[in-house]
Amino acid sequence: MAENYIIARPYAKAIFSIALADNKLPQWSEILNVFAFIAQNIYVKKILVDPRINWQQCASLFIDVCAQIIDKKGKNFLQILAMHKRLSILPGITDLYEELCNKHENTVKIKIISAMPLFKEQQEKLQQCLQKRIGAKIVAQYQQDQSVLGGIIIRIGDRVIDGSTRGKLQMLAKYLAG
Amino acid sequence: MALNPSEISDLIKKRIEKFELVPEERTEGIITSIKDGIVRIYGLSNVMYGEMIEFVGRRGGSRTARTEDARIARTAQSAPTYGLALNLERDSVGAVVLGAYEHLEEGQTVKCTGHILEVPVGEALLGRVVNALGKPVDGKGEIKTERTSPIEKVAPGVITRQSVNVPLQSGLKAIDSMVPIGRGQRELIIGDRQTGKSAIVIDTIINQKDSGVKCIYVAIGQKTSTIANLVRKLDEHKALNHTIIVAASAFDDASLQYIAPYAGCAIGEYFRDKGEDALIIYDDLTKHAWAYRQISLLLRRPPGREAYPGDIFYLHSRLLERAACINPEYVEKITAGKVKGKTGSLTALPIIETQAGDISAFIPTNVISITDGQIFLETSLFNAGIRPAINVGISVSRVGGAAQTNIIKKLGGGLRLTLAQYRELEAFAQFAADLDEPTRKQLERGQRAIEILKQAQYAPLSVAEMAVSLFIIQKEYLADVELHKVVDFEKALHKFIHDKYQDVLKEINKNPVYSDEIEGKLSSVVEEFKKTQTW
Repeated sequence: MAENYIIARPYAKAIFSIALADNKLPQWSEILNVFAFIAQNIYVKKILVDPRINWQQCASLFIDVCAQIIDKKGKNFLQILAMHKRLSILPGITDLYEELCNKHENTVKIKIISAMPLFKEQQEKLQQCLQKRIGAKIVAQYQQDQSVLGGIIIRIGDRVIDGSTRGKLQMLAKYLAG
Repeated sequence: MALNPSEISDLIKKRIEKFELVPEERTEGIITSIKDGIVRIYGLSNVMYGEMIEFVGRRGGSRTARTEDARIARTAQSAPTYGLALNLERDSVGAVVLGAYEHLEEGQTVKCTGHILEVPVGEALLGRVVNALGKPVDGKGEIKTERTSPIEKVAPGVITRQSVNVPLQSGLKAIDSMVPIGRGQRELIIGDRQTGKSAIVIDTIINQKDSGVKCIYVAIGQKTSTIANLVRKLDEHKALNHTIIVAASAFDDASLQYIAPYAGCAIGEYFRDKGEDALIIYDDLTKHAWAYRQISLLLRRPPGREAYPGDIFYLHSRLLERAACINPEYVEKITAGKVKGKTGSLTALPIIETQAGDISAFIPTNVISITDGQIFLETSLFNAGIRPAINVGISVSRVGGAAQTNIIKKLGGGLRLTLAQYRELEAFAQFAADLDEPTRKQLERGQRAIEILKQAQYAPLSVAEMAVSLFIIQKEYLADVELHKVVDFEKALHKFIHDKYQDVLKEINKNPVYSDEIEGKLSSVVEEFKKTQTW
């Protein structure tokens, strides 16, 4: 996974600069998500590692599936990837591309996990507080998880702010055990 | 099922009341691969180098805990597993697991703890055997310490140091007279296997019984039976009460062997920073380097000479630099004024095992250049019955001379020269059949000096006893004693003085200065003894 990112980074950067120059950031995001979805398909994965299938065939598979949504640049991108036998890292490229877009637009994606669905006022207040703390626009994603018991867990990338009852109980257990 | 004393409901209630809750903010990552105790983690973007990371697992505990009885194993299972972040890369973190790693799996969550690894320190550890994490392994129950200390610390700076001027008596004639060790010094003990390296340091520990020096013995990659034997021997000689043993045996993971010396050093620093004197023994740093090499290669760091990583020098230099003599002002500052006017010291005796006497290998040359001198032990001398098998010619102490006891310095001063001249003549005498009188005398003198420097194991000598032995060589009282009787002569003389002239010994031990008065007393004692002819 981490190794994939090392390989995917230059591709993501290149796509991002193309998209930025053409002013097509959201369009490319959509296209890349479709690519990633295809690349994660279990049959496609098998085809990508099959030695009997050459790179032209791999590329045309992707191009045919996405013919409706991609232009010439998209086609070329797929061909370059196929030539280097890198079609399997498309999910990584997509992730990194999203990251670059978020950075460009100064937005941060966060995940808020709670036991019960939050009220509208609660959500708004929470977003305001977090916006102040992080200093960037927030795109919040809400999620319910019964095992949290109470309170909320906020995930910002790999940063976790744990204010859940489950977390508190775990801390108490650790404290009592010494 | 037995109830612990700490499980009384009132106590639990009080502890719960004291418990403070703050929302925890942490960085998380997930394990992407695990093999040979090395974990690769995705995430943990703000982890620090050397930071302790926690594996939030279902099971845990050390390998030993799993094999011991079920009750202990159960408590150990709920304990989290920890790791050490060693490779910080752009997208991933390479970490080494401390202890067993078989229960970890891909996709598991990993947390940052925000601090580096700490071990418990304090007086409560004296007389105990602990592992590299400071947990007791001697079955004598829990160790109650109030403080912990990070294992990696920056060594005291230049301003805070003081020159070495107090001797650390090893109790061995050959060492104290010719390669003296001062408190705060780092003296390397180097030699092949089976040359008595550990024997020297064990004698030194035993000799610290009444000197107030606390000893820390760090065993790295040794057999568990060897460690058990050592503990028993120290106990037999009543030397366990001032000793702490940090054991990372051959059975422990390389990660634990890697951190053991640093943990031992942190324990020793506690005494140093309190204005006391401590002695730390690393037995041995060769195996430590091997453990680090193993970790480095598994972390895919590029191998260099002898496959060691590039920072192998730093591995030992940062460890040995922490052994120091610090001045009273620094002690006062650290203890916040509680201890005044006392210097603190941590003396280090690292041990290096060479292969077939090759001291120009990578690790020996590194450690020789770091330390303030070295004691070379040789197989040939050992087999010739010269024990301790110290090669005096190439053993040096770069700073110990300033710290040597006055009387030993005066009496042992000529010894090095005597032995050097003897060695030169010895080779020459093998060709020449007839020797002139002065040459023959010199040879005999050298032979007797070598005999006197022999010493049995577990029998360190006090300063006064040593002075007597050195006195009889310097004043040539042995000229008319047969060579094979020299050892007996010395033994009988010591017994004679202990029986009849205890006051002389006491006087020397109290004030070890060589004066005309002492010289007169010693001569009369030795002459009286020689008249008895009882050896």
